Amino acid sequence: MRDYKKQLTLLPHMWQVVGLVAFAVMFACEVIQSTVLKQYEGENWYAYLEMAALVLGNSFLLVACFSQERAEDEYVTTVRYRALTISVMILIVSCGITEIIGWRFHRFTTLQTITMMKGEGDGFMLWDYPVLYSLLGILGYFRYAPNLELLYIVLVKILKRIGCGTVYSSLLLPNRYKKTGWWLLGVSIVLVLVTIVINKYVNVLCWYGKMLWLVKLYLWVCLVLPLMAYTGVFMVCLSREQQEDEFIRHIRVRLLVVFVIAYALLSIFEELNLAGRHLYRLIEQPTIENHGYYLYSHISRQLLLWLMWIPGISVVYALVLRKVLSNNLKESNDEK
Amino acid sequence: MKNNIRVERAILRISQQDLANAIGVSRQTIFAIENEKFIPSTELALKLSAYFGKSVNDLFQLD
Repeated sequence: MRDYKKQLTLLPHMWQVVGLVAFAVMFACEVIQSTVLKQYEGENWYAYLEMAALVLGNSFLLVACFSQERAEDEYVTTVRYRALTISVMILIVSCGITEIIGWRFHRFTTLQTITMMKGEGDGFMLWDYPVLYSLLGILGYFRYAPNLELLYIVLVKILKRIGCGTVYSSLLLPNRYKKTGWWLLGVSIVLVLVTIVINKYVNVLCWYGKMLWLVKLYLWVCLVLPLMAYTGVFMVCLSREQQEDEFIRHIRVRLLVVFVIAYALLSIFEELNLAGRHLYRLIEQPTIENHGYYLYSHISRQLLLWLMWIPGISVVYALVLRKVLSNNLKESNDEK
Repeated sequence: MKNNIRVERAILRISQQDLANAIGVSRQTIFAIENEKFIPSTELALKLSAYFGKSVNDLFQLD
């Protein structure tokens, strides 16, 4: 049986200070680069500065996240887990809202409709609603790993100061939502596959002149299906087990730590990729195939497409949780 | 941290499931505690000690 007492070994407190100071320096470099140095064209050296600022800044922040507080004890560990749970919940909510409303809704009701109807569409312009637009912008901000890490560090400090309490008040949904979530997810995946097949053989968008209602219905279905899938995933991840007790909460939090580390590392990988592409563009390599950055960019883009999609990671989280619990149950059955 | 939960349970001749039901946790939790893979919270430790009628010190000992 896996030892659930084992904790992640954190770096000494000194690294938190080093990490935060280094992140501040990198952030300043980034600001200087984007405001002052960008004016000087023809100079490539500042691109290296940007690359260093992005990659090192995020790495140092990750180091700061996984460093001990000055007095690290059991209470701080509880605070840490609480801060982590809140941060991940904010990440999931911000991803869900910005992906669904800010991206899919916007895309399906403006760009596609307008392009399809040659400018005659009754598109919903997100930027016509500045408050909603700003709100989505702020929420979307937490999708990025460095902001999430900063939020986590600040939350640890605040919760430690105000006291997060030892009684774990669960924010999760009742267990019945888990079953509904799996159904929603399954049905939406099947329907998405059906629409892909339809789209492969029949170009519905071409019928906008004859059957506008059908095209509109198709667009709305395309909008609603991902929404269904997202809702299903969040219901699965954010609902209690049949008998949710402190042991299961403990496993849940441990999985969240893995989730956050994976997310942060992939984020650094993505920044390296972006910086690589940026550098590549600047140094103007004539043969793209021979350039190392090309392969690197390609691999990381593919990885990000499949792994950094938060609902995807969330499904993995739900499946791993299920697997861990069923393994544990099997072991305890064997002993019985 | 060591514990005598398994011994105390054997004395009372109750199953892990009975104990789990009595204190409101899952059987997996009892299994993990008995195998010293999970340290229960003070609340759960007190519930266990109340159930067995022993002090927490009798049930749990530091290595």
